[in-house]
Amino acid sequence: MQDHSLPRRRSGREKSSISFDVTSDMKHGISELEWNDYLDGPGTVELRDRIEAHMIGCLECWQLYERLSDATRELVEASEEARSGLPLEDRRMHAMLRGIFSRIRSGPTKSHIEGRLNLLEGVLTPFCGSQAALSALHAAAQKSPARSLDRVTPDNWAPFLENLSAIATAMCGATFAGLIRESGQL
Amino acid sequence: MLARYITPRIVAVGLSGEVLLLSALYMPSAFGWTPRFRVTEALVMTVAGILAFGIALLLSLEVAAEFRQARWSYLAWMMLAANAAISLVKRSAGSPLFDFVTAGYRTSPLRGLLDNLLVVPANVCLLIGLLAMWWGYHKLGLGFRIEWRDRGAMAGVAALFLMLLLFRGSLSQGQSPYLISRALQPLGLTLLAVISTFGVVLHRYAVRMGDGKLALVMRWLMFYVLLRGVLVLARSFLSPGRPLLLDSPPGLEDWAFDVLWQVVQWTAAMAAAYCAQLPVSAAQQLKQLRAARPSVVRAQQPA
Repeated sequence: MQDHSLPRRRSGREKSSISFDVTSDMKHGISELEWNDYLDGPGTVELRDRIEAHMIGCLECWQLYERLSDATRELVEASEEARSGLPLEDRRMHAMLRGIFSRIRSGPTKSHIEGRLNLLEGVLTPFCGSQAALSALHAAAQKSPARSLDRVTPDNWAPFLENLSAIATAMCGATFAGLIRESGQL
Repeated sequence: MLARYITPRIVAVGLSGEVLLLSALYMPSAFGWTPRFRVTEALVMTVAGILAFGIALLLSLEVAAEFRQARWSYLAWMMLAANAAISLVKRSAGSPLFDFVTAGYRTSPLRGLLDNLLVVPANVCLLIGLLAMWWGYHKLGLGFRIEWRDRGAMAGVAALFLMLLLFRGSLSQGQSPYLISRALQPLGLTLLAVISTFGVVLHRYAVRMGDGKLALVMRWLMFYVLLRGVLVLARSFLSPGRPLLLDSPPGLEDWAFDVLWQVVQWTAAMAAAYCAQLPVSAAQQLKQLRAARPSVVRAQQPA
């Protein structure tokens, strides 16, 4: 008795060993293209009836059908497996993009603060001198909730900038304080 | 804004122009080529003095307006403006031109009285201004502390003036018929001594401010504060027999002292001019910043 049951799922290594003995153009009156059409589904009713009528009496074609359908099923499974892997990559990419956009939306980062502090020092220095500029930045930070210059963050930036503007007003006047205020805007 | 037109360069031109003009008038007579152009010299000195203190007054008022939100700095520059205003009146009242109207006016008790009536309030204003400036910076907490060596230098300056007051024979108004004149002159000199000690503080500020624009303001204020004291002390030590005045009488004094007193007036104008440039420079930078900002925003927007 011949085993007509569909073969179990094979390993990947076995997949590579699948071979189709359909090298010839026509076998038992069924071409390779017709087999493909039948297995893939788009074949006509007439084609399906003809092939199935033939397979009932032809063991060789039945075995070929089994092998091909088995291989097709495995290909579908493999493609589904591959496809299920891709959405994970998409999700990862989405998560990364969401992180980037949320950082953009959430405002300045630490490096942004450092850049802004350097800019303020650059504005202060030509007016007050480098030493006094640095002293002014430290004094403004000390009087703010940050308490020190290295603890200045976007959260306590506003009171820090306000203190620095007050120092700038006392040293170089209101116009210079305005320059500091606008230069320090995040 | 007046500061846009009266820049430190303009003030420097005024200062050097006056010195060159006075030199050009004096040198030929010093070599005996021409007679001394005393009237012209007196005219140049009077006009230049009024001009210098006028500039100092107007620019100090402009600077004070800029500091309206900073109480101590505002007070400091208002007091410096008051000092310039009183000095302007003193310069007018003490003009050497009056010597050509009233003989011996410059050494008369009346001129001494006028001088001291104006010198004392002028020095009081200057002292209050310097104290307000020092207190303002002290309150900022920038670490502008007066060090021990500064205190030593201040004590040295004060000791020099103390020696002058204690050991010098008589002041120019010592024999004045006006009691107020006799009382005010030592007071004026004491104030000058205290003010001169503040020159050390201003020097310390200038050092701390390094190469900044504000350091130039401090340096010129220091010159203004110290040069007056140095001239009074120098003349006292160089010519101990002569009566001591807060400026130099032309009949007794050599030409160099006259010129140096003229320079003092311009140093006040120079300090005010440099300080008045701070808002001008800041306004220019602010304009550039505002002009650059839309382009930055455009660059950040997605295409």
